Amino acid sequence: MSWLFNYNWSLMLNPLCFLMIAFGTLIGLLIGALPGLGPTVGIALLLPLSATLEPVPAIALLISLYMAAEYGGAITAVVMGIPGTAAAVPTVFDGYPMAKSGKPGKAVAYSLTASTIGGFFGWIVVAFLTVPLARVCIKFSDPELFLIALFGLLSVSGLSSANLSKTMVSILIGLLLGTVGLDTFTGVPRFCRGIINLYDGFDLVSVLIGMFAITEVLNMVLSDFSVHTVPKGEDMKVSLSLKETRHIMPTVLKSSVVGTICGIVPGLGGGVAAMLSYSEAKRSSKHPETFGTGEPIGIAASESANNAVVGGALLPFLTLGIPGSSTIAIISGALMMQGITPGITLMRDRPELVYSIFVALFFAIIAMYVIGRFTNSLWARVLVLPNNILAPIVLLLALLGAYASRGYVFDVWVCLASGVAWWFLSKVGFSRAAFVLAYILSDLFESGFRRSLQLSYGSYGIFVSRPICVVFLCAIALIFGGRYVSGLIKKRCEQKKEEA
Amino acid sequence: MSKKWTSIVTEIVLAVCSLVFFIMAYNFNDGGTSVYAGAGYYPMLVSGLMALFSITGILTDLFGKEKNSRKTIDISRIQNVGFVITAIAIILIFWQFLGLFYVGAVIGVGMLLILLDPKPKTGKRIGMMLAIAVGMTAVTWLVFEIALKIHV
Repeated sequence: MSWLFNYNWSLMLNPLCFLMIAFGTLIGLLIGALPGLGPTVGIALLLPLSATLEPVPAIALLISLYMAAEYGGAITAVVMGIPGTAAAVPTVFDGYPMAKSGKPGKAVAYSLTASTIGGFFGWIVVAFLTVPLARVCIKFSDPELFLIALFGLLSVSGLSSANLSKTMVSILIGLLLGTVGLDTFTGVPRFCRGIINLYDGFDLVSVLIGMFAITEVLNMVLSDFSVHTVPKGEDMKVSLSLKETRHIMPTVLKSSVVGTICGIVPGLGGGVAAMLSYSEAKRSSKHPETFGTGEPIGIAASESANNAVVGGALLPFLTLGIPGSSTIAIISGALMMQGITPGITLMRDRPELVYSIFVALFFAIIAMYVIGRFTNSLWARVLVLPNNILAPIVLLLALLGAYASRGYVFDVWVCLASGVAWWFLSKVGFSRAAFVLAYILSDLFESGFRRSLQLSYGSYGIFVSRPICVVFLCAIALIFGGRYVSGLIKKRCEQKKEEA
Repeated sequence: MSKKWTSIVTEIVLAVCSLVFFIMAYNFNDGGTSVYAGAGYYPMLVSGLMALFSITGILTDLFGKEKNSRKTIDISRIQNVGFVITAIAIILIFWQFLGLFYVGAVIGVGMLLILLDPKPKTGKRIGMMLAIAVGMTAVTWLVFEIALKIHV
């Protein structure tokens, strides 16, 4: 806390830094909103510019872009049903139905408010709890990471209303597709059939764009074109009342905690954070049946978690020099270009730079809210377009997004195949949410599982012999046991009501 | 189209696919390393479980109680899906074989806009749809090629 008084504020409080924050935020919103492009691509694009700046304005530029891009993914998720980034996938589940039900303004307002609060939560954690939290999280090893992934996968069963076997098959399809490509342990190509593009596996973003955008295009063209997605003159108000904000606050705070932890633990990131928070929000809701139909809490859970990740991800990076995500790795590269080496010595040798990152993050969140607030009404109006116009726009953006992610036309084919396959599979009751989380977690799940077995020479006992593992297993047992018991009680009550 | 039987056929296909994956994964284990350390161990576990759950799904669909959800899949406007596939094919042919993505986009998107337009197709209306296609493609060109330097 004392750094607030010791920090040389003139480093950040100058026109150049504010200009960079505004510029970074605008670019971040655009990059995040464009399907296929996320904060990693955005920061990579601005690296040459950041190299020409002094360290503090460069930090301001990159941090504000990172924060805004995490939120930007929600914009197209809400107004078009295309997740701009993997972290915005759960936002589609409720954001898009809410927008389609005639409240696009409210949907983007919920996502912006939740993103802002989540961002602030992550900021508070990184600014005031950096060292102790980093020490705890660094103790997570492969068995713990495997159990986190397992917890995520099991929790997804609560996400889907489909029958259990279909949810499990959806999860297993995700895990199986995640094994395609070179095996990182042995170098053996798995299921590649000689196709070189498959050696890196299926591109996550292309698969996601296909699943959501192509599916949505097919749904749009099969719908009645005389009906607008959102009729003209509908409520475009992009602000929330105090009551609405209060309603989402408990979920926002809970999801921010999940997001921050997922940011701190290397390898998890925004996608996992958003899915876990969403499934937890649904699990703990009194009305889980409203999820997927435009439930504000669903939007709030996903958006607050993926923005809280930003603060969390900075924590191990600043204290231990560990970049927990590809985005942070590129920011690390940008700092190295400035002659700054992140890690334990940075806090000791150049504390003013660490504090500048804290302050930049704070102003980046404010900039995201202000600029987001002014531009959101424009986005909300996209849905006023009739479906016969909107479908080709979504299709064009989807094709470009799938390509832009890695620069392969092959990924466009993957996007189309995944779109058509999941359009069909979702019609017969398979769970997209379960597949998405499994696919996002597949790397972590497999590497955690196999490394743990290697550590224990093939013994599964490793998952119950470590203290943190036992804590995780107890948490899993408590949550799922609780769900089972509450289900039984509910059934009993219904039976009693019927008898009465 | 009956949803129940579509679901059963889908699950049969998935069960067969998972068995194929299982056999392929079995061949990844070279015998030189411990089984659990081999490249095929984990995919075998996953594909085996997938086959098991697919079969469970088939049995559930066959003998379980049917829920009150819609029992058929609506395909009354299926010709529109054909239009989308044609538009995508045009874009991809121009893109992959001629390297002219934006030309393909104008033609494909323009065609799709005209075919999906529910209003009577007058000359003015067709011109308007083509103008939208050109405008939309121009915006994507500006954003991707000029602003982001992503060359398509």
